Amino acid sequence: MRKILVANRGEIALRIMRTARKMGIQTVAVYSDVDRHAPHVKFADEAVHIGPAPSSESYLVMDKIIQAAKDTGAEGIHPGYGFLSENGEFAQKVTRSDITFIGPRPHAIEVMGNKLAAKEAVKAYDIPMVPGVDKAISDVTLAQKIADEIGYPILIKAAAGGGGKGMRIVDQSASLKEQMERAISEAQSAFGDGSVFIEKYVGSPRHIEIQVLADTHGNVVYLFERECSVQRRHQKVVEEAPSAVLTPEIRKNMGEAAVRVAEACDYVGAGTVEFLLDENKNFYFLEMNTRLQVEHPVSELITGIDLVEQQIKVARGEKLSFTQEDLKIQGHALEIRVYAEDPMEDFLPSIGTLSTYKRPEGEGIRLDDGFEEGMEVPIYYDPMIAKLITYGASRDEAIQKMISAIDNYHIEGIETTLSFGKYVCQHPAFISGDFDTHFVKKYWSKEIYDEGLKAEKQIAARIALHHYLESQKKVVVANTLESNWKTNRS
Amino acid sequence: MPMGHYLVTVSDTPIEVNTDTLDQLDAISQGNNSYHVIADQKAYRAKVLDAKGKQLSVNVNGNLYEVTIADANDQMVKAMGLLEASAQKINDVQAPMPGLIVSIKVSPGQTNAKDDKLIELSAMKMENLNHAAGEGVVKSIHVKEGDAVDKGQVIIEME
Amino acid sequence: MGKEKEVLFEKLEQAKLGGGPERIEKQHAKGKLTARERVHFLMDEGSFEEQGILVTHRTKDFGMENQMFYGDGVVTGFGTVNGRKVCVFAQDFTVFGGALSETHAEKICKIMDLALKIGVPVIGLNDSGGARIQEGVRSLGGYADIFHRNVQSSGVVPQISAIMGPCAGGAVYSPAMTDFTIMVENSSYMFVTGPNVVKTVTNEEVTAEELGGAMTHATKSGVTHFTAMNDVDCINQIKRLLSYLPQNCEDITPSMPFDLGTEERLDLETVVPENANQPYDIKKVVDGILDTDSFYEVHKDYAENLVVGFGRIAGKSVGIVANQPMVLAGVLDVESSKKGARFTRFCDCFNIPLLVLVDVPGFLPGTDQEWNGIITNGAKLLYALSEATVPKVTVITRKAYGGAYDVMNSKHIGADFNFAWPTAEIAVMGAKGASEIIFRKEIQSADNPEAKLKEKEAEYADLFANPYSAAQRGFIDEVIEPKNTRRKLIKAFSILENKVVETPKKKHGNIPL
Repeated sequence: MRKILVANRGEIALRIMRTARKMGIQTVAVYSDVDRHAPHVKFADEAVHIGPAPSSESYLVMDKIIQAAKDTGAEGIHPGYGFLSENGEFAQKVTRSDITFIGPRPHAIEVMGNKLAAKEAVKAYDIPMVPGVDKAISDVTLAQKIADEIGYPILIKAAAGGGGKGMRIVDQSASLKEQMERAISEAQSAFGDGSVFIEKYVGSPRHIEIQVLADTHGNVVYLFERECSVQRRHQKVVEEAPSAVLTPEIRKNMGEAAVRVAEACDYVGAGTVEFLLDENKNFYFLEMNTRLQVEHPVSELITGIDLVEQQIKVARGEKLSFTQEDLKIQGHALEIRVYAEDPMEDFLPSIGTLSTYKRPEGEGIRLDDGFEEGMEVPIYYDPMIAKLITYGASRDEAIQKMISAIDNYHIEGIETTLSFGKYVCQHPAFISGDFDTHFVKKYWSKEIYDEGLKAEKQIAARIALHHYLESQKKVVVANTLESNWKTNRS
Repeated sequence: MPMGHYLVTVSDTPIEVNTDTLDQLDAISQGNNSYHVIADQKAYRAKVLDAKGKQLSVNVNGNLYEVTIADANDQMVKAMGLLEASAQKINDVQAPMPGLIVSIKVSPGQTNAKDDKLIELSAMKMENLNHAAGEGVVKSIHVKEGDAVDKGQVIIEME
Repeated sequence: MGKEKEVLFEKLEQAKLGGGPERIEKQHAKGKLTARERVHFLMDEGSFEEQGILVTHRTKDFGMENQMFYGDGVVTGFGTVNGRKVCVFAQDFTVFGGALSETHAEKICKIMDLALKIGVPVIGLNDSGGARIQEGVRSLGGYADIFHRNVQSSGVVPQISAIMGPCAGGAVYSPAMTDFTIMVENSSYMFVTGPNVVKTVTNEEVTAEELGGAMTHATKSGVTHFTAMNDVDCINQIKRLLSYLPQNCEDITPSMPFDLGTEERLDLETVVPENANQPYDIKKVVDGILDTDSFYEVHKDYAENLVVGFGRIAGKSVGIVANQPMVLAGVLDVESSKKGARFTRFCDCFNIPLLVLVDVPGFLPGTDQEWNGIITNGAKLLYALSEATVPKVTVITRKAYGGAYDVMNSKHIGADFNFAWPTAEIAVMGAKGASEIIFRKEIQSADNPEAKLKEKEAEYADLFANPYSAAQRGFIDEVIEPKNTRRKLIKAFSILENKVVETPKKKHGNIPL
């Protein structure tokens, strides 16, 4: 494979292309009307315009992308994450066009794409799962019975849902009927599929996922875990590797379980198996994501492995050049997703132009971004500006580097989640490692943040006044403008 | 040093600072507009990044704040209401010049918005359209079409 | 030196209180600031140096020796306004009602003398009940000393008078002779004789506001050039005005930084309506020529048929004189001629180039005009524009008829560049009037005189209602597209930067006054 088309945009497209270039592979970018000036377009060797701004008319149009690959002679297509990365039909079409799809086989994508099907598939592989029913339910009476068996609180989930959408918590039997009916109708309209299932709602859950990598020769390894419990609206904002609470034993168990999940669907390439960890450190299989994930860099930093490089090699049919025993955790990595959102306004999107955009630099700081100063943040796509990742010999060191990196990351023109990231890094619950997916709900609010800033504002006021009064003491004389007065009149 | 009470606005939060308390601030200058401050046993690193008279940018522990200082005079002037722009109240409409009323575009009781056409006046062989300077309600119209008017004559009375 | 210093500090403390806290309260209650507060807001922070804070009066009559106030009712000194050096005096209404005494006048004269030595503008913040009667002739002398200096400084350094309270009797002559006056609405008034005397002598009942308030002088008499909503607005306007002016007559105004682009202004293409009888707002043309938001109108409410004011082109100050077709069809009359003439002469004094925009159908006819001397007053504008030796550029947008064509900065009276838009009509008079005269016999003898007149009118208009006769003779240097006006003017004023013209030696001309 000497030429790859990256069917994506923004930071991930750029990140994939960087690795491709490192490997001496030519890159093809695709772009919509508003992305003409985007860094990924400027970086690639070739670029193909694929349509107007809305994704449905550009980045999601399978035929246009495949055509672009054909026209440029690209031998492989990397789908990145989001967009068409978990679209089985796309994977099929690509393969049928004699182009290598850099990812798993269509079958794996389809099976793992549906939560219920996924659970069914892994059943025989001794994977612990959250108590619940792995079949779609529409009969409320049956649901009541199951819920009583499992015990409240329970979670109603949409089978075709993802990214945290389509989930409802039910605390008591009385509300079950109404919640189920609502959940079904929501799932129908949001995903086109009204199937819902029930499982136990795990209190104080931590979201821990395992990165797996498999080649076409039957070798599957796990590259340890990522802790992704700091989320808002079920979307991850802060991720780290390794987790602060896993013991080597649990890690091994989870890792091996993840490998079995991958084997269950004949997985090929890089993928992620998501688990929930409860307060007793029991883990339960949630789902598998059959693509490269946003937060993959933290795993790369602690293992020293370039995952995109591995994806390409596997796609080329190569055997994994290392075994599970070769993989070791070194140091600690932390990632903050920098979204164009205002944490003070409940993380609502903040649109605008990046009037100032200065990247932090330094050892142990990695910034995966797709923007430059002066660029406008388009409203058509995901509001993520960048991923700020730090790496240190220890967790504390990674956290300190993150705080300092945030201070040196100057973005103006939009609000971002950077201030939130800093707050997390300085919060005792996070520092101690004692937190779960309720972190944002428990510890974050505008009021709390303002309180913390109050002391700083007082200092700012005093220092400013002091500075001003001192400067007032200095003698002020007028600038001497060039004047003919004296010359002409002496 | 002027003894005084200052109103310091830090990123939209107003904070009152008296020069007496300023003396109590435990801050050491480290040169280059940087200060090390200890308050309530916590340490702060503050740096004045930009200062234009009474507008300053101060960075405290990595966070940037925009600061505006108002001294006693500034506060007094604000309290006296001298900083507000006056609202555009529309007065009676007078003829801007001597001429003939060609047409009247409004009627009594009508509410008009700014820039609405009020009357058409002809003078010096020039048609002249009179526009409303602001919002208002027409009370009464003192002329009719075809009337000759003098400069300054009240044509439309506003509420 | 402890004790000696204490004496000093005590005196200074007292001086700063002016007439005392109660009187300061009263001033504030009226919505007015004190003299010191006004100076504080005017001058750059920390730049003001007061002179003569401990001066007291020397009168011993009428028990005055028991009423001494340091400063004697006026704050004088020097400092900077937005970095530019100025001299300032501010009358303190809390001390004897700001009344002028011999020593009060001395302080003002001193600061005016300083300004003349160093070549900086003088700003006067007037707030005074008039002469201090107890001083008798001495205060009259004080006023005259000031007047004389106003005249000596006239045309040498800019002088700006702010009327921020009463200004009555003889006191009004000083502002009258300064270059610009600005009055604060509702709290200031100017008149030679107040309402009380007016009532006894002429039986007219009139309030101070009606007789000589800010709006009265802004609209009826033209005594004031600007009005302000309150003291703060007044001070801000003074600062704004200063930014267009040089320090003195030897210098030019510092220019604002400016990045030149294409400078095309497409909105100018549609300003002049198709119908020649329809008016348009000349201020739209002004905005389409000048740097964004740089127009500061002078005499906004007076003689509105002529628009004058300051602006910037590519960062450099210019003075605008423009006919306003929306008012009185843009004719010239007694008041507008005086307004334009004074403004022109001010610009000429201080090296500010002139831009004249022309759309004038002539002079206003009528007995009112003739009996009020439209002849001599119209001549004022002609004289002033002719006399000016600063760069002068004209743009004719539409009509330029008859004598008014000559007056409005035509080439013959010394304009450097004369541009015309394609819609310009440069003629002796309008087509209708001209046809009635030239083709009178033809029209009278025609079957349908009205139709004939229209025919001849169209013929005449075709031939003469355009800029081409004038262009053929070089009276117009270039006929230009409206959207390019700004580009042409930037280049024109740039090339004229170092213009030098010699005038025949004379003590001074005799402009018809």
